[in-house]
Amino acid sequence: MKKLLNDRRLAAGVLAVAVLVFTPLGAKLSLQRAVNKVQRGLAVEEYISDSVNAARNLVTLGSSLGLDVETDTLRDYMTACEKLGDNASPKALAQANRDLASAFEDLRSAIAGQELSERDAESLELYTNAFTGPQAAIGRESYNEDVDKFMTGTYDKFPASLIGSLLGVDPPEYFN
Amino acid sequence: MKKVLSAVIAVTLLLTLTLTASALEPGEGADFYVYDETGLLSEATKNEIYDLNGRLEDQYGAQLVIVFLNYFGATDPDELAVSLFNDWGVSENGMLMVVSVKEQTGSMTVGDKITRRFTVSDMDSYFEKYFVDDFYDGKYDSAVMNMSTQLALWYDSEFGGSTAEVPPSYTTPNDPAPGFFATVLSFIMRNIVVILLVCAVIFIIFRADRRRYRGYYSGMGMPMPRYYPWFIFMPRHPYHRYRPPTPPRPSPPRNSNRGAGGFGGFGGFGGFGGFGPSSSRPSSSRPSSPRPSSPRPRGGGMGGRSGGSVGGFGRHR
Repeated sequence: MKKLLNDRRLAAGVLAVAVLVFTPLGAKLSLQRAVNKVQRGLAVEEYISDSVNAARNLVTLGSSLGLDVETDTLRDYMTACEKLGDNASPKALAQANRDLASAFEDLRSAIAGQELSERDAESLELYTNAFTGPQAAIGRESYNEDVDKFMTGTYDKFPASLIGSLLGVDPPEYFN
Repeated sequence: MKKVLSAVIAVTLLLTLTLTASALEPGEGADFYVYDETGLLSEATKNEIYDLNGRLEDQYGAQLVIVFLNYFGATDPDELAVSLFNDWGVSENGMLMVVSVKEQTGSMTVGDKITRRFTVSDMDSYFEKYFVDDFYDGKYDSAVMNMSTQLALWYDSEFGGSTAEVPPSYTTPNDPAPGFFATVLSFIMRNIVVILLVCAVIFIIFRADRRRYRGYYSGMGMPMPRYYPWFIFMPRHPYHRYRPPTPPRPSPPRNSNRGAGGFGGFGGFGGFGGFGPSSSRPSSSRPSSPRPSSPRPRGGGMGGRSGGSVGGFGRHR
C-alpha cells in the first residue's frame, strides 16, 4: 500500500484520469445549467392563463348562441392549455397557445357572423379585448431574443459548441 | 397551414389595435388624472393625485395623468402613451404615464413645451429611482405617490413654485444625512447585546485578578507576583527561552489500548464580528430574481402632436 502511494507515475495517471473525467462532466453540468436558466426566462404562463379565462367567457357566449362545433373545439384547446404544467417546454407552450388563438378566432368569427343583441356585441368586444391583451403581451416577450443572444454568445462558441454536441446538451428551445 | 395561422393571429391583433385605442376613454373629474383599469390603486391615492393636479394646474397649467392597465393590448406601450396624451388632450407642459401591471412595464410621455427640459433619460431615471422598486414589489399606491410627488417637485424646481407636499414616508432625493449623535445612538442600540457582553467579560477579568491579588497579599511573606492586567492577551515570559533539542519520539506500542488518551486542549477564542453599516436599511434584502439591474431602454424622440419624447421601463418576466 505504501509503495503504491509513493508511486509517482500512478499518482500522475490517477490525476490525469480524474481531470479527463471530471472536467467534461463539470463543463456539461455548467452548460446544462446555463441552458435551463435561459429556458426559465420564458414567463408566459400567466398570459396563457388569462387567455384561457377570456376564451372561457367566449365559450359561454358561443354556447348560448348554439355554435356547438366551434365551442367544443375551443374548449378542447383550453383543456390542452390547462393541462400544461409549469415544466412545459417552450415549444409545447407555443403550440398550445397557437391552437388556442386559432380556435378563439374561429369562434369569434362565428359569433360575429350571427345577429347579435347589443349586450352580446358588447360582451364579444370585451372578451376579444381580454384575449388579445395577453396575446399581444406574448408577442412582446423577449424570450426568443434571449435565446438568440445565448446561442450566438455562448452555445455556438468554443468550447460550449464542442461540449454541447459531444456530451448531448440540447440548446434552449425557441418559443415558436 | 402556418401561413394561415399567422394570418389569423395578425388579423386578430390588427382588430384589437383599433379596439384598444377606442376602448380607453378619458375619465371625468378625478378619473381623468388617474385611469385605473386594474382597481389596484386606493381612493386615497387617487384623491392625492387629483389634489396635486389641482395645484399643478393652478400654478403651471400642467397636468399629470396616470394610466394603470392590466395589458397594453396590441399597441406598443410608447405609442399608446403618445396616442393617449394626444387623444385625451393633456396640456402641452403635462405628463402622461401608462403602466401595465401584468406586463410589468410602463411608458411615459411629456408635452412639447417641456420635452427639452424633461428628457428621455430623465424619464428613465425617475422611473428607476422613484417607481420601479415599489412597483415590482406590488406596492402600487406607494409607487404612484412617490413618482408623482417627485414629478411635482421637478415642476417646482423648474418653474419656481411649491406644489408638492412631500409626505414623510416617501423618499426624497435630498434626504438629510443623520447627525453624529444619531449615528452613535443608532450603533449602540443595534449592538447593545455585544456591548453588554464585552463589558461583562472585562468586569469578570478585573474581578478575578483582584481576588488573586488579595490571596497573595494575605500570604505570610510570600512575594507578590508581577501584575499583568491583560494577562490573558500577553505572554507571561516575553524573553526567549532556551529549549533543549527534542529527543527522538519513541514509537507507540502496537495494540496499546491501555491508559487514558491525552487531553485535547482548548480551542482559541473566535474573533468579534465586524460592525454593520450605520444605515438602518439592510444592505441586500432583495432576492436574486431575474429582474435586470437597469430598465429596458426605450427609444426617444417620438413625434406626437403634443406628446414629445417617450421614456419607459420594463423587465424580463
